Amino acid sequence: MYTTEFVDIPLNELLYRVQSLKHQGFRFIQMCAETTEAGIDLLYTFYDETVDNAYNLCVYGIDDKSEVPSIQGLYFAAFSYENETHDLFGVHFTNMQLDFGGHFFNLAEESPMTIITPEMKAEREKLAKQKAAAAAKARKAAEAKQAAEAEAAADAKEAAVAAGKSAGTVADKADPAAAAADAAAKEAERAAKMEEKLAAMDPEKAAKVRAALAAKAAKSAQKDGE
Amino acid sequence: MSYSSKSPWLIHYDGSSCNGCDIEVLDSMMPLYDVERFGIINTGNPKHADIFLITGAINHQNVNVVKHIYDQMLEPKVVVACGICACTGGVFKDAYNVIGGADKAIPVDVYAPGCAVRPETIIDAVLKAVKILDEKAAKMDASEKHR
Amino acid sequence: MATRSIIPFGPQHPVLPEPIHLDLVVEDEKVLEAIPQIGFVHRGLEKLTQKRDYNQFVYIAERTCGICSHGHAYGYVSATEKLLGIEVPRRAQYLRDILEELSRIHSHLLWLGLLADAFGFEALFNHCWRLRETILDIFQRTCGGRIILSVLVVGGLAHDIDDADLKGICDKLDGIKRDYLEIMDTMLNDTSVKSRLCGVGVISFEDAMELSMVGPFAKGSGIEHDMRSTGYGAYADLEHFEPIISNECDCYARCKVRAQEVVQSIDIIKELIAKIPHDGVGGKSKAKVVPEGQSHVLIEQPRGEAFYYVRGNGTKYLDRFRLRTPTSQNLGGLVKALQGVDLADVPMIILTIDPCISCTER
Repeated sequence: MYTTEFVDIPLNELLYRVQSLKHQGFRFIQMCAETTEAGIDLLYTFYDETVDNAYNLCVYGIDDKSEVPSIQGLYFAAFSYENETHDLFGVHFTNMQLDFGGHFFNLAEESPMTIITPEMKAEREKLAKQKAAAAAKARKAAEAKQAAEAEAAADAKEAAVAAGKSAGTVADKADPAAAAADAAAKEAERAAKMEEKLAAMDPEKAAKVRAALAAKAAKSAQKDGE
Repeated sequence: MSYSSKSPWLIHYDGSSCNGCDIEVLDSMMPLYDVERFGIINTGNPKHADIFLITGAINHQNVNVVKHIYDQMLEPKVVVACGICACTGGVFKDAYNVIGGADKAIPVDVYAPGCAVRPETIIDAVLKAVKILDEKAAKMDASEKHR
Repeated sequence: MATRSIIPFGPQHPVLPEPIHLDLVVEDEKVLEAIPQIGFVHRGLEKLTQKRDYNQFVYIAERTCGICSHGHAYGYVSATEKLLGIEVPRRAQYLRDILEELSRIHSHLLWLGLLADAFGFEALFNHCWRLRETILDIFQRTCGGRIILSVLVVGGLAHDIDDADLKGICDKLDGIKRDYLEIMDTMLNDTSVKSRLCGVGVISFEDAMELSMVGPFAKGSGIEHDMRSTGYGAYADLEHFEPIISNECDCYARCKVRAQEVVQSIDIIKELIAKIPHDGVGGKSKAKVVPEGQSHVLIEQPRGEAFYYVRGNGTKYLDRFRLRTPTSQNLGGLVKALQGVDLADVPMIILTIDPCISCTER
């Protein structure tokens, strides 16, 4: 089975990232856009045949003013997705090799995919209300707990037993330590493969890729720290 | 007297169908179902055709293509809407780029429902269309005599 | 003096049942450039995720395309199950893959027939489609529908296919195989067929890599890529699986790959039926909402690898459903393959990528 990886990147790093993926021999799978509350997200998917990994680059917060560099120069197959995203979402791409100028899909309305339907809106509002109610309930429960603290000794004992039980079931379900070890092994394998690839590259390029990898590792470490 | 009902030729156009109905339309011409035994031939030329089989819903880009094909066909002509999308828009009725059934663009004579429409239904619909074709031809003859 | 002109191809064209438009820039009889234009079948069904809840959407996803209908439902439910964290019983996975392989056989037979029609071999066309009817009969008997099966639900299958029926499928496949091998012999060895296919519409291995091509179109250029070899679903339990490739890189190679894949699929189905476990088929998911998050799956469809992406937002509607079909990926390859060919070969080259326009435009 293949693995999946999602990586968030800023828009200005996009071309550089895609270029390095192309040099590493990744296959381009697709590009798509989606509308969120914060703007439009772009998702680029690539596939690494050597380790069967689907690698996703996510770019967040695109609006109608941002200019997204086209990747058609690197992966020509992207032309249909870029033109589609332009027609359906109104995202602007620069330096397109094959540009249909907004006539790839001829639609009656402009960027229909950016509109949120009333059904969806209602459902989202319902969810927000539920969340608010849950938060209020939790707050109330906390207050009640504080009040009851004096006679909590016996309760605490019971709670401890219950917690022990639930922890037991969690442990039964999945062994997080084993999973982590597994992931670490995979990471090591990947790194070894990467080293092999780097050895074959010319030194200048290898240095660049190494720097990028180090930056990525630092970033993820920082995230973990947070 | 018109003899077109003895050998009605048909033309097929895929509106925005999912392919299912198109394949079934083609399938009904294959040896197993064989509408060709009624003297029917599938043609690509609208001017040769008497019966227009349309599958799939009408959208903003193909509405003119459909109208254009219909206008090129010579009188008398019959339109058969094959499949639920061509009848009403079907499951895609709510989609933003779909206008509705084929009757939003051209007059439809026979509606053949189903998702996907079965070859048996298509054969029934085509035979019904042949009857209507006869009636239309008779009407044309009568009006010509009247003149 | 050679003059340049633009010939419009489609949208209503006898060779294709589906509408696609191409602007062919030709000089005398040579095509210099081909620019595809689509959008005639665009319905906007990805948007319907916001009007139909995630269980209802299976039926919409399935109706993306009438040829690979089962594959689209399969991709959508797998992606959604991944997001919901549902483990599907093995039997359901086996049945899904058996139906998927049956779909592959019927899709390839349909395509071989259309190809025969494109180069004017009508008897072969009719024979391919006659054989395809037996597969549709199997679908009708086991699922109820001929084209749209509607048997998949998020969480498993709507109903089981019992062992007697599975045995019936095996017996039918034996008959199909016998007939099919005769057709395949004509398809691959007949002189008139070869003279139309060999050396036409060449895409080199390097170009195929560069253009990220998928499916039999890529396998015909020697790219050994098939998502089934990653072992999703029941494919992991196969004794041995190796993608079929061909190194001729022309229309004949693509025809050969598809022709041989039919035989391969028959063998896969028989192996899966022999091994099928009996642990139930699951049922419709009871989850009220889809949790926040994103997931995607890649599956191998008759036309190549397809990509399904879903994103949940904590409500019963999905935020986004994205479907990337093999044809949209191969459009780049089509543009490349059409450069410099004879005008008379254009319909056939378009056919050899096995375009499925309604999936591409959704």
